[in-house]
Order: sequence, then structure tokens, then C-alpha cells
Amino acid sequence: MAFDTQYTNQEFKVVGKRVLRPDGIDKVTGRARYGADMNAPGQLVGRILRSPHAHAKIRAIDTSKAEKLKGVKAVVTAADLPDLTRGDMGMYDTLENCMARGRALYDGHAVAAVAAIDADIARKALKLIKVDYEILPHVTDVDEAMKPGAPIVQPRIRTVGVNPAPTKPSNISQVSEFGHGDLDAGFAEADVIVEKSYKTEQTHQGYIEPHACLASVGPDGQAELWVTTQGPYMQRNTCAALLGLEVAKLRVTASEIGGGFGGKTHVWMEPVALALSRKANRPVKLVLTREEVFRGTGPTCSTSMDIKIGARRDGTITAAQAVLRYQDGAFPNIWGMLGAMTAWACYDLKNVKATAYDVLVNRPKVAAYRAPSAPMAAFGVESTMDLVAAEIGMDPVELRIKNAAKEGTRASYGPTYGPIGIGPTLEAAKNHPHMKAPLGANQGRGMACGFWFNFGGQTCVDLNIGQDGTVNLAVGTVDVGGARASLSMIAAEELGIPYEKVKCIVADTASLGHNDTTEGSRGTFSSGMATVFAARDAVRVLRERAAKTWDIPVDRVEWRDGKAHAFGDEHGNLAPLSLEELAAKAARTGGPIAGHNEIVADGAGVSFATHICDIEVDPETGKSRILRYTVIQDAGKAIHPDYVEGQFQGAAAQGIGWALNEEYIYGADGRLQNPGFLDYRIAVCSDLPMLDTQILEIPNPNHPYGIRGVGETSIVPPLAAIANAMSNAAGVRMTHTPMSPPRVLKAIREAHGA
Amino acid sequence: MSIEAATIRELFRKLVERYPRLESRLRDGIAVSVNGDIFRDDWNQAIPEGAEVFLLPRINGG
Repeated sequence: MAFDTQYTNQEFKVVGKRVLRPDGIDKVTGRARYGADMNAPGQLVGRILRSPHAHAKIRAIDTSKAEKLKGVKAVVTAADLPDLTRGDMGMYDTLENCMARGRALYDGHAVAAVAAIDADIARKALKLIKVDYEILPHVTDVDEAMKPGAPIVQPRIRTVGVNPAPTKPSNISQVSEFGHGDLDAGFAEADVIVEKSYKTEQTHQGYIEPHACLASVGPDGQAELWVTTQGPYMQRNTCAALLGLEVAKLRVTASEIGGGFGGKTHVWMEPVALALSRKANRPVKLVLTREEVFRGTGPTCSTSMDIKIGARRDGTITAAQAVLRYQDGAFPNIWGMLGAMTAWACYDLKNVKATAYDVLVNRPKVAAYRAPSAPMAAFGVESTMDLVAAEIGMDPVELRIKNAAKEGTRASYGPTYGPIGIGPTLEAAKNHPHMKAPLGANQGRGMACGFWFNFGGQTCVDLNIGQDGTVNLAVGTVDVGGARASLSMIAAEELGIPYEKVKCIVADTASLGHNDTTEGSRGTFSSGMATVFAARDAVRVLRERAAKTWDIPVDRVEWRDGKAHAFGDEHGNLAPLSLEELAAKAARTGGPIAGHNEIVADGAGVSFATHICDIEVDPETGKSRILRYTVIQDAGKAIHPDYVEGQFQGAAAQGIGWALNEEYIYGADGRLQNPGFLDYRIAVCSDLPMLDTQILEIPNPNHPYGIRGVGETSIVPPLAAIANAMSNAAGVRMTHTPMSPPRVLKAIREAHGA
Repeated sequence: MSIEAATIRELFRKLVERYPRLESRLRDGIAVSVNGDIFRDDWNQAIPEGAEVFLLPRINGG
């Protein structure tokens, strides 16, 4: 049944309230079952052997001694995962990333795996596997990888997006360009031109729960996978394709998830676990260590970039240019292109261009990380915006307000914007008390803006009404940020019943139609839309049942406040029938009462944020401390404000860690030097003040409730907001993240001639 | 170029008729912006008369 997706400014009774979260007790008492918490009779322990080399040819792998070790039930290499990808290079890259095929492309690349009866035997077995490597030259830096003569990571790659098409291999997998207008004319109009180059180091999503799964493949081809993932259907489709299983015979259940932030939108070791299980004919549990998560899963890109802005003295930006170089790890992707699309999206620019180079290096395959690619480009752009403001003597907020995109602006990536929230977030920042709070010695304030697209996608929801009138809502988007609460609220709103009467679950892949991966801030947007429609579908059934009960036409029945009401002169005296009453008699009116919806939820609506940051910098050590931080973001409609604020705070916290301390550090040997939380320092509670939030609600016209995604955008501004604050606090312009104490101290000493 | 199409599906069909090499790109994934709203999957989406249409890469999020 088709429903209208347009926003209707509906009045709400449940939506917008701060109800109790349904998963809280399980999570704080330890009852919640994460990826590593599932067990099966006879299960084996899986372990992976990884390359210690950044780039090497694998001449041979001898697994014979490992196979003979008592307690070892299976050993697999690439030979156990034959190429079934039929020319699909993206799928082949996934296969090769799961298990090296004749060459190791980065430190940590899986080369073999074992399944044994316990962890000790599995570890011993790994040591018995002999891999004959021929070490090859490697490159891990994005700028070095672009130079002529750099070691070639993927000999099959010819640069896409340049004319004429190259005939020789290159580490530049793709060149992309976005923009409009005449840059030369725009820069000629400018009173001032500011150019600056920036670098950002590679960071990991840092989810607290490592990747984990329990795989079971039977001799009849029936398989099950319990896994921590953002995309159980993605897992099912990808694993089935790589292992030659029938999709319907691989049942994937998403566990409770201990963070993903984009890093769990891909398969990593799950096909290996299934291959081990198939070979051993036993269930296999495979849990990665933190070191393996850092070395063998997908962090975000490191980047380098050049930003150039021309402006008149009245603050009008006349031209803006970005040249972005993003490393995608050892496999081609579009992360640089995404940076180019987002770089200038906050502004209304007549002459604008962003050019992106996607570059291969000997590092792990890059994965999405919360608003992927946008934070790095924003670091360069928003830092340069502050330099322009200083050059023309204009307040940085006013400069941004003057140039902010608005409805009707042609976005730098092409389309014309509908109603958007960048202007309102800037006005809210300008008027926020934070902006007027006093600052002390060695303290400074900065601000910055950010943009993210948001997505919808394929979505499927079942709503089943029990015999007592309580409701089960089965969704296929993983709950990464409170969606079970929000979706229960939406179902309650539509049915006119209390929130507590709805229980939302994330269904397994055999129980519900396909759902796209929970990414792009789509969970509440798209499953929310499907829930609205599934509930309306159930209301249609409820009205039909009431009409049958009363023996009156269904068009004389309306649904209001959780009850069927008959209306019209001849029926108005009938007592309303509640959902409970209709549910109790469902058997006699046609059977179970349910609502369903399958939809491609598109038109997700873009999102903007503005952040304000106060920082103190110790000039003797370079150590900085965030004093105060405010996030202002457009949510479209905040279904559950606590969770929306939590998303704003979580994204800002990750951005702060990225800005100040987090980085992948590679040695000259191409090996990752800091694969652990002691040496790779994420932001912890003691590093952060209370992160204040302000929710703006500019409804998305393409959602019945006006919802926009909220999960990603607020990781975009922190890098630049902190750099701008640090510049005002310490008088140094930091152009390289992380802005760690040694780097800041060096900049302070250089600035003061020490 | 000028193409008359009432839906994204019709737009893609006519594009492939004119530029056959586009077929693989469309199969791999192209998003369409219609009057500023981005549609990644819904090929049934109507394109109103005079609408602004952009073809964009089908991008992913985190």
C-alpha cells in the first residue's frame, strides 16, 4: 500500500518526549548479548594469522604442521575461498581483503586462519603455519604514494577520471571534480586571497566492542551467522556470494552492537569464520583482539589538502578551491570524492571547485567513519575561513552567515538546496550565551560548521499486535543510536497507545525482508518512515475489524486515541472499541492483526551543524584542555531528544579525540606502531567537559514527521572548531591533526622563535 | 543534452539508449538529485516537468 511521504506538521502526543530507553537495563546489568556473547554446542575457537609486512609477495604457505596439531579442526587460506566474484571487482577486493591472495597488501592483512578446540591450541597452530614472504617496497603516506616511482600497490589500477585514459598503473585510483563558475574570474575579483595546506592523520572509529561472530555451516548448506554489524543483510548477501551459499540458507542475526560508526558496514573476518566452520563442520567463534581491529579492519583516510579562498573586504567569497588527496588504504574507493562533494557544501558560492585524488597505499582498506571524508575537508575549509575573517577584520560567524547556503542555493556538488539549516545554526551560534562568556589567560574560542548528506534506502518493517493489545515492532535496521526507542514512539504515536505498549526488536535476516545497512544516519529516518506506514496499515486493519464487529461500513469508522470510533448519525452511539478489545477478539474477526511496510525511503534531507569550542593551551607543554563545547544541529524533528543529544555529543566527542590525539603511527618498515588504546589515545570522559547541545528543528519535507538523520554531521566541525580555538588561545595556526601536545609545543616554539 | 523523462527509470533507459557505456555505471549505482532531493534507489520517482536533475555518485555513509 502506498503512503504519502510528505511532511504534514502533525501534532504529537508521544514523539518528542524523553521516555525510558528499552535497552538500558540489559546494557548496565550485562544481560545484553553482544557479538562475543553467543555460544553454540561444539563450537571451535577461530584465530587469524596476519602479515607482519606492509607489502609482500606470498610465495607459499605451509599449513601441514598446524593441521597435524591435536585439537586443530580446520586451517583455511585463500585456497579455501575460491574466487566466485565473476568479475565484480568491488566484491573481489572484499574477498582479497578478507584473506590475502598471493600478496600481502598491508601490515595486518589476513593470510591464514585456524579453528581449534580452544584458544591455546589455536594460537599454537598459528605459530606452526609457515608463510614464505618476498618483501616488496611499500608506501604508507598519501603524498609519497602519488609521486612518480612510488611502489605500486595495485598493478591493475589505471586512474579513472582523467583524459586521455592512462595505460600504466598508478596509485591514484580516481580523480573527481565538483564545482561551478569561473575560478580565475572569482579570484580576480577578490580583495584578499588566502591559501593554506593541511594534513590529517588516519584515525579509527574506535568502537569499544571488537568485531566478533559465531558462524555455523552445516553439510547441507544451511548456515547461520551471529555477528556484531551495522548491516546483517549486507553480511548475508556478501558472505553468501563469497562462499557460494544460497542467500536464503544463510541466516544472519545482528547482535547488540558496541559501536560501529561506519566501521561495521563491511565484512572483515566473517567469511573466514564461515569458511572455517564449513571445513570443520563445527560452529566457529571468531573474536578479534583490539590489535587486530586496528591492523585488520577499516579506519578512515589520512589526507593532505590545499585550500584557497578569495574574498572581498565586505566578506563576500568570490572564489573557493580545494585540492584533496585522500588515501583509501590498499583498495580503491571513493573517499576522496566524498571529501570533494562535502568540502564547500555549507556555502553559497558563485565560483567554486573541489578536486579529489583517491590514492592507494599499503594500509588497511579504509571504511566509512561517521560522515565519511567530510571532517577532513571541513578542517581545511573551516580553518581557512577563519584566516580569511582575520585577514579582512570580520567576525568569523558573520563571515559564515554572509556566505551561508540557503534554500535555492546551488550546492557546490551540483543540486539546488531545498529548505536547509546552516543559516539557522549560525544564527543560533551567534546568539548563544557561550559566544559571550568570558575567557581567561591562554584560553581561546573557535567555531566551525559542518555538512553531511544523510541517506534512506531499502527498508522493511513488520508490526504485530498481540492478543492483549501490546505491539511487537520488527525492524531490520540495527539500533546504533536509540532507534528501538524512537521507532517504538512512532508506532505508539500512530496507534494512539502508550509507548510502553510497544516492544521493538531487530529481526534476523530470515524473518524480515531486505533492509539496507544502518549507515548514512538512516535508521530513524527510514525505519521511522516505514514504521509510520506499517502502523497506518495496521490501523486500516483495526478499522476493518471494528466495522465487522459493529456490522457497519468501514468508512464509518475512524481511529482516534487508540480506539475505533463509529461516526455518522446512525452509528454515533456505539461505544468505541479499544485496540485491546479488538486484539482480544481478532480470531473471530479475521485472524491476527498486523501492519507491514516495504519502502525505498529516499529524500533523506541534508544536515548542517555549527559548533563552538573554548580551549586552554599550556604554552609550556602544548597540552590543551577543552573548557566548554556547544553543538548546534538541525535534526528535522527530534523523535527522542535524549538520543538526538546523545548523537550530537557522541559525534563531537569522537571529533575532539580525532582533533587532539588520535593517529595511526607507521614505522619506516610500514608496520603500525600503536595498535592499542594505550598508544592510540581516544578521548575519554576526563578529557571532556559537558558537551552542550541545541537541537534545531527544520522539518525535512520528504518525511511525514520531518525527520532528518542526526548521527553523523556533528563529527564534521570539531577538527576546525578546535584548530580555530587553539589559534585564538595560543597564537598558532595548527594545520596538521592530531593537534597533540608535541605538535602544538613545536608550533608555539617556532612561532616564538625558540 | 536534452532528454524527456517522467521517472528516474525512464531517464536511465533513455540515457543508456543514447550512451550505452553508461549502463555499467548505472548498474553499479548512480544517485539522482531531483529538485535538490537525492534519490539513491527509487527508480519509480517521478521527475516533475521542468525539474532540476543531477546525476551523482551513489555514496555511502557511516
